[in-house]
Formats: sequence, structure tokens, C-alpha cells
Amino acid sequence: MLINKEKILGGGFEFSICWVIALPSEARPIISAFKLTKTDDEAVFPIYKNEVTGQLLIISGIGQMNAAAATSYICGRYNVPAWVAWINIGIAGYAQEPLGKLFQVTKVTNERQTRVAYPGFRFSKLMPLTTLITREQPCNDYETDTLYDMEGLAFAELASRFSCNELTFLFKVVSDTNAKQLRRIKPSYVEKLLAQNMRTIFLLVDEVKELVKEEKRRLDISNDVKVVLSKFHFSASRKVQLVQKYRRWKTAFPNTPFSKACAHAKSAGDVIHTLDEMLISAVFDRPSS
Amino acid sequence: MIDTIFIEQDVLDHERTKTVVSKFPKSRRIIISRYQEVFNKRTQNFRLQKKQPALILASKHKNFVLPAPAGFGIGTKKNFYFSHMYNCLYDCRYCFLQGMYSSANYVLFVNYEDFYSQIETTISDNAKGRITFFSGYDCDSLAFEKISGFLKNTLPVFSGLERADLELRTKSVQLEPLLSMEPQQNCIVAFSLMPEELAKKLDNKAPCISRRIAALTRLAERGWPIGLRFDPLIYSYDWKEKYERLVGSLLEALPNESIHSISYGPLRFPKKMYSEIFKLYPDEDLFSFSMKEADGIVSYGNGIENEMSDFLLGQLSGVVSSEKIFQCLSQN
Repeated sequence: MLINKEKILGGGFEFSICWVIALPSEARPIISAFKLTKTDDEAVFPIYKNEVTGQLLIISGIGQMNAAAATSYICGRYNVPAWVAWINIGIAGYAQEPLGKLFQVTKVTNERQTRVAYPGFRFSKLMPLTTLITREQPCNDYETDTLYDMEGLAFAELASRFSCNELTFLFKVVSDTNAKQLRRIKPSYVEKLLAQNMRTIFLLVDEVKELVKEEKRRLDISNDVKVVLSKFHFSASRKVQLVQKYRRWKTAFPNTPFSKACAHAKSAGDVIHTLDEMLISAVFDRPSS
Repeated sequence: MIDTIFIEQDVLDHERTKTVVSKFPKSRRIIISRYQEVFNKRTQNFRLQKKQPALILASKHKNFVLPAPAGFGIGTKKNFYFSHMYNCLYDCRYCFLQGMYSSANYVLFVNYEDFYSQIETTISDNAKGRITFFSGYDCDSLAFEKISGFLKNTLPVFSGLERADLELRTKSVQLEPLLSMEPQQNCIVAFSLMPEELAKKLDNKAPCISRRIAALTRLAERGWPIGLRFDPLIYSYDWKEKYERLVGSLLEALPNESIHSISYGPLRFPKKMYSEIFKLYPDEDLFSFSMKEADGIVSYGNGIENEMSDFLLGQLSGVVSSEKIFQCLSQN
């Protein structure tokens, strides 16, 4: 019931980014910077959104199980489309200073190295790249040159199925090192670590949105097609045909209104037939194209 | 250019790995078990990855040399190909690689010697007649040379081989080590070509046709046997005029005796591959044309294919010996 209800709410949403964040203190700087507001009081996890910028955020709690559950939950509940970017951001342990440094994760494994993922389009001009080990329990013996967290791997494995590997991102801020162990991480400290990286995070979000736009252009079904689909009955295979033929037709005849081209169509078959007829005259590299 | 290099644990200490890595001092190195864990995974997105491919250094374990697909050849009955690299620096819209792999990362196999050993075995196993080996099936033979040094190592292997030819298929104008080496008559430098107007739209990131012609002219002057490859032939508005101009420019620039072979082939895709490529680039003008599907192959259809082949042969007729001209028809 709840999922159906929210799918309707999600329907008017111009999605671009889904944040999956373990702790409220990690999420607060993001919520504040991107003006997200709490929504969906009946949800199992706290959810925030900004409909104008197309951002959703879910607070998962600590651990892989929670990260996986929250990722699946928000995807199903809001019917998140395949071109949306998924971002997990949070704190992580590292062998050495500097505390507060932001990294992008390009490889994430479990401790035994039996599972591995290589998430994300890389933003090496904005921040250094590194590897991450996702542990089941907190630890205090960090090896050199890799980060440690408790959610990253499950998130990367799951989110990439809902979108794609290149739109699944893990960003981590160093919160503690071998020299500076944290017995109990204070929320105010975590907030500060995230907040001091917001300038870079804004740049990242801009870059991510460009990739999302490109994927949306590739995957989204045009309004022209949606109108025709609502007007006539198309079988599943005919729907696929329509989507493909429309894309080819639109590329060949970018200036022709679809409504005009299909004005006389009385059925799904007529629409397909009309497109076929017009596509016969489509030739690559025509001077006007 | 390359910000990340994934390196298989097993080749970490390989001399060639060290050489390649030293060319990207600022890149991030990430150790992996096998290249398949980061290459061609189901959830990867070729189109996005192509904006910023990483380099993967790996070891190939088997299938170093394979029989070339039926219908593929330049005169010899026995044809083989090898791929020391997967994927290409260029981004040609008709390329089958984009439909074959979900990953655009470059995989470079550093154990060249295993390829050479298998090439030698293949030659001994085929004791009679000439054999042609094709390089550049899954990558461009020359474009990555400054990084890989593959040709520099490979050409001496073919030096003096009397029964074996090597075709280097390329669009690159990066001509080393060819210009600084003595030409080998059994190594054919074969340039993929299409009319300039079409290459501008389709051969993304590749050198323009005039630069390719200038490059092959230099190689011909140096004495390297030249191959001209009109594969695929692209059907387009005014295609006859376009191909006529292209062939004219080539024949004007090249001495006839420098031409080892000319081959041509139609644009054809296995149905599944065409579908994958269309999904990646649904707004590509090349795919607007109504192609036909028969027996699992998507093509322009026999009528257009034959018309284009006949036209090209007409352009070459009387200028280039028909013995040097070959049709490549993929039958996969």
C-alpha cells in the first residue's frame, strides 16, 4: 500500500540524485546545503527530498544490511528511474592523516576480498581516488592506503543494479586514523568533517548531474511516445518497436511534429506503419539533417 | 589522459607493466585479481565509461591466436587474428566493440611473448601455404603504440618469416616505430578509410581522413606495403560522389606499387550487437536508416551492399589490379 502511494508521489519528481547516508550527523550538512526537507512520515527510514533539484536522501543506519535495505527501500518506494545517480557519502577510517580529507572510492571489497565492486565515474580532478574495505564490525587497525567503513560494499553492489556502475558513487571523509582512534564518534565532529568539504561536494553534484542528464536523454521515453501509448493499446513488443522507431524518426526528422506525422493514425499498428513509411526516406548525412 | 590503472596482481612486477605505469606518473594504481572483475561487468555503462576509460594491465592466459572469422582475408586461405588489447582510443559509431563489451576501459595484455610463441606454433602447425595474421581486430594496432610498444616488439618477430604476413589495421597517424625501422614486406599497414564527411560524423576522436592519407603516403614513401580498407562501406546521401572523391584522393596520393591490397565490406551487425549499440546511441543519425534483418544479421540488405561494392570496384577498375582487391563479408 505504502509503496503504491509513494510511487504516485514519485511520479511527478524530476529525479537526479539519491543519497544513501548511514548517520544523521553525516546527512545533516547535505540536507542543509541542498535544502532537503523531511518527507514521508510513514517511511521505515528517515527520508528527505528537494523536488526542485530532484534529490532524495535516506538515512540508513550503520552496517551493510541497513545500507542495502535503505537503498532498495527508497528505490522501490519512489520508483527511482534508471538514470538516477546514487551517492553514498560518509566518514571512514584511514591509516594516517589528514583527517577531514575527502576521497572518491574506486574499489570496494569486504575484508576477505571475496566480494569486490568498482563503482563510479571517476572525478580525479576534484579529489583523490582510493580503495575501501567494508567491515562488519568497527575496527582500529587500519592498513596503509585504504579506507575502512561499514556500508560501502553493499551499497555499491545494489545501487549499480538500479542504475549503473558509472552512476554509483562512494565518497568518504577521513574521520579517524591509527594515531587518532575514536572511541565514540561525536555527531558534531562528523558534521564538521562533512561541512568542511561542501565546496567540493557542490562541484561533484554539478558533475554528477551532467552525467544524469546524458543518461536521461538516452533512456527516458519522450512525451510524444507517452501520449501515443496512452491513446492506443500497444502490446509489449509493439511498445519496444514504437520507442525505437520514434527515436530513429526523431533523429531523421527533428523538425517534424510527431502529432502532425501521426495525425491520421487510428491504432497502434497505424502509428508503427506511419513511422516505417517515413523512415524509408531517412538517409544518413542528408544535408538538412 | 589516464587517471587510473588497474593492475593484475600477477603482472605487478612484469617489466612491461613497470614501463607502462611509468608513463602515467600521476595515475592512481589499483591492484586487482583478474581483469574480468573490472572489465565487462553487467552493470557497467559503455557510453559513460568511454568519456574516461581506465587502463587495465593484465595477463592473457589462453586464446592468444584465433582463426579469423570466415569471409575475412586478403588473399591467403589461412587467416588468424590476435588481440593484445581490448578496446580502442577512438570512438567510432559503427564499431562492434561498443556492442560487444559493456566496458570501455582499455585492457592491455603485457605478456606479449606468449602471443609470439603461439604465432610461431600456428605457423608450424600450418606448414603449407601462406598465413596472414591480423592485428587490430579488438583494438587499433598503432594508436596505443607510444604506451604499449607492442609493434616495436612484434615487428622483429615477423622479420624474415617467408610464409607469414602481418596486417596492422589502424586509423592512427602515430607512425613510430614504422618510420624509424626498415620496412618489412610481410607487414602491411592497413588504414581504415571512409569519405571525409562521414568520418567527421562517425570516427570520433580518430584522425581526419586527410591526415590518414598523409600518413599512409609517408609510409608508402618509406617502403611499407599499404592496405586500403573500405570496411565498412557507409551508405549515405550522395555516397557515390563521396566515395569517388575519396578513391580519387587515395589513388592520386599513393604510387600503385605501394598498394599491397584493398579490401571492402558492408556494414553488418549481429542482431544482438546492433540492438546493444542502438540502445547506447539511440539518437545516432547512422541508425535512422531502415536496415534489414535476415538470419540474425542486420545490414543494408543485398541490393545496397551490391550497389556499393560494384561502384567501388568500378572506381578501382583499370587502376588497381583485381588480384589486390578483396571483399570481406562477415558471416558471424
